[in-house]
Amino acid sequence: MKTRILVIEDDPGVLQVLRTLLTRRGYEVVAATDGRDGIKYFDTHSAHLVITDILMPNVDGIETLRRIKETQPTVPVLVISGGHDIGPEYYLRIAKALGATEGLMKPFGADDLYATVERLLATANTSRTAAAAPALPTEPENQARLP
Amino acid sequence: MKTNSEIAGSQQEPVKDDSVWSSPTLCGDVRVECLADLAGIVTAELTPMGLVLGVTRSLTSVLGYAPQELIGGNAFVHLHPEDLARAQHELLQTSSRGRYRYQHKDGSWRLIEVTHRCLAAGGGLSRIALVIRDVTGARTVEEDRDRLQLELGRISKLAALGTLAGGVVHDFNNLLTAIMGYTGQARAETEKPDVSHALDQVLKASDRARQLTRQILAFSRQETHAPEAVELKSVVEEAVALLRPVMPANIDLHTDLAANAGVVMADGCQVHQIVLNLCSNGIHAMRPRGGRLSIALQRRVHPLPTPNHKPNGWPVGDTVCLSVSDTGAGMDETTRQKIFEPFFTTKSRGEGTGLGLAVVQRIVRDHGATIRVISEPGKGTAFEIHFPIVNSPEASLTSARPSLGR
Repeated sequence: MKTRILVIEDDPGVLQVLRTLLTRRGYEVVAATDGRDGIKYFDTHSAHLVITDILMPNVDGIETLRRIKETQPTVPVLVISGGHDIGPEYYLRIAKALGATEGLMKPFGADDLYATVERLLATANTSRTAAAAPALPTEPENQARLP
Repeated sequence: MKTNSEIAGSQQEPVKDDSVWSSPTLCGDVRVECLADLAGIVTAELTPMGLVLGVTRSLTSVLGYAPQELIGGNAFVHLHPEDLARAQHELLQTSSRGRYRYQHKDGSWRLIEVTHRCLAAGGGLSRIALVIRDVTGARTVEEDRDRLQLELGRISKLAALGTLAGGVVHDFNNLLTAIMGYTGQARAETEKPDVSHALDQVLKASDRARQLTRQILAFSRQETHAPEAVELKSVVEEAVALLRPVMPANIDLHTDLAANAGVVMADGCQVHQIVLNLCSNGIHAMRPRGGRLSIALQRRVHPLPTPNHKPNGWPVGDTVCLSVSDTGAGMDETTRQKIFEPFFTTKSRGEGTGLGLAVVQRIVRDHGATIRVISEPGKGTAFEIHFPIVNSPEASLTSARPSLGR
C-alpha cells in the first residue's frame, strides 16, 4: 500500500510540481486547492502526511492545520510558505506553535522536499492512522479546477 | 569691461529733489537702526547706479565696514566681479532676491542675500531700498531642494521595496519553487553531462534568486525579530560553518571567538545574516588577489559618559563586539558614507543587490546594537558591531534559534 500524502496548495504551479515530485518518488498524492477542500478530504478519508500552504483563499493553512490536528493529532503536517506581508518565518512559527511538525520556506528544491518528507514519515507513527483510514479517492473532487 | 571701481567713478547720480525720498535716508532713523541691529541685517539705500545713500550701522558687524566708509561710494566696488553684472541687472528689477559674493573688510568673501525694492519718484526710478543678510555657510534653497530630492528618492525606493516585498515576493517564491522542483527532478534523472551542467546552472541562478527574495523580505521590515538570551560564539560558529565550504582558496579565514564574551539578546538567524553579509562583502573586496578575512568576538568595556567625555551615539558599558575585517580594497570616504543606502553597491551588475549592508544596519538597529566601519583605501575594511550585554541573571541561555524546517 502506497503512502498517501495530502497536498493543500492554492498555487497551481507549486501544487503541480509537488505532485510530480512526490509521485515520482512513489507516493500517492491527493491534491486540494484550498483549506476547505483539504479539510473535507481529511475528515472523510485520511493521509499519512499532510503538506499545506499557509496563505490560501477560503480557509487558510493555519485553520486547516488546527482542524486536522483536532481530527487526528498524530498525523505529521508539513507547512510551506513563501511569506507575504511578513516573512515566511513568521507564518511557520505560528504553524509550529499550533502543532505543525515541520516547516519549509519557499522556494525549496526537490532534495529539500524529499529529505523533509522522508524524515517526517520515518518518525511519525503513521501506520495506525493509515490502517484505520478508509481508502482515499484516486482523484480529489476539485481536480477539475487545476490547470 | 569696466572694473568695479570704474563703474563707481563714472556714475552720474540722478538724485532728484523729491518730497518722500529726499535725504536724510531711512537708514538714519533710530528705529530702523535698532531693528536692523536686532535682526542682524543691514538696510541700505542705493541709487540705480550703486551709489550708497545710506546704510545702517549694523553694516560693521555684518561686513566689517563703518557706514561712512561706504556712504558716498559705490556699493558695487566690493562685489565679486563674476556677480557684478547679475547684481546690477537684478537690482534694476522692481523687486527681487539674489545672492552675491561680497568682500568683507577683512578681505574674505561672504555670501550675502539681498532683497530689494525699487522706489519710484518724480516719474522715474529714484532709489533702491535693500535688506542685506549674511548667509555664508547657510544652505541655499537649491541645496535644500537637492537634499530633499535625494531623501525623497530614498524614501520612494523604500516604499517600492515594501510593495515588492508584500505583493510580489510571495508569488515569486511560488514560481521559484516550481522552477527549482522541476529542475532538481530533471537533474536527478538525466544522464547527459551537458544537460546536467545546464540544469546545475539553473539551480544556481534559482538559489541566487532565492537569496534575493530573502534579502528583500529582510530589508522591508517585514521579517520578525525574535531575540533570545544567547552567547554569540555558537551563533557565529554556525555561520562560519556555512561559509567555509564556499570560501575561495586564496582567502585565509581566521576566527578568534571568545567563549564567554557575554550574554546578549539576539535573534540567531539574523546574526547569521550579519556574518554572512559582511563576510560576503569582505570576500568580494579581496578579489582577485585574495587575502585575510578575520572574524572576532570579544567583550569590550566602554567608559560611561562624563562631562568631559560624551560618547555621541557610541555604546557605553559592556558590549560584545562582533568584528569582521578584510585586507581588501578598502573604501574612500565618499563610498563609506553610502554603504548602508539600499541598492548602493560597488559590485558589478548581477554580482550584488545593494541590500546586504542595508539589511545588516536594519538588524543592528533592531538589536539595539551599534555598528562602526573603519576603512582605508588599499588596506581593507573592518566592521564592528557592538551588542549590549544583558546583565539580568534570570536571562536563560539558549543556543541559536534554528529556523523552522531548515
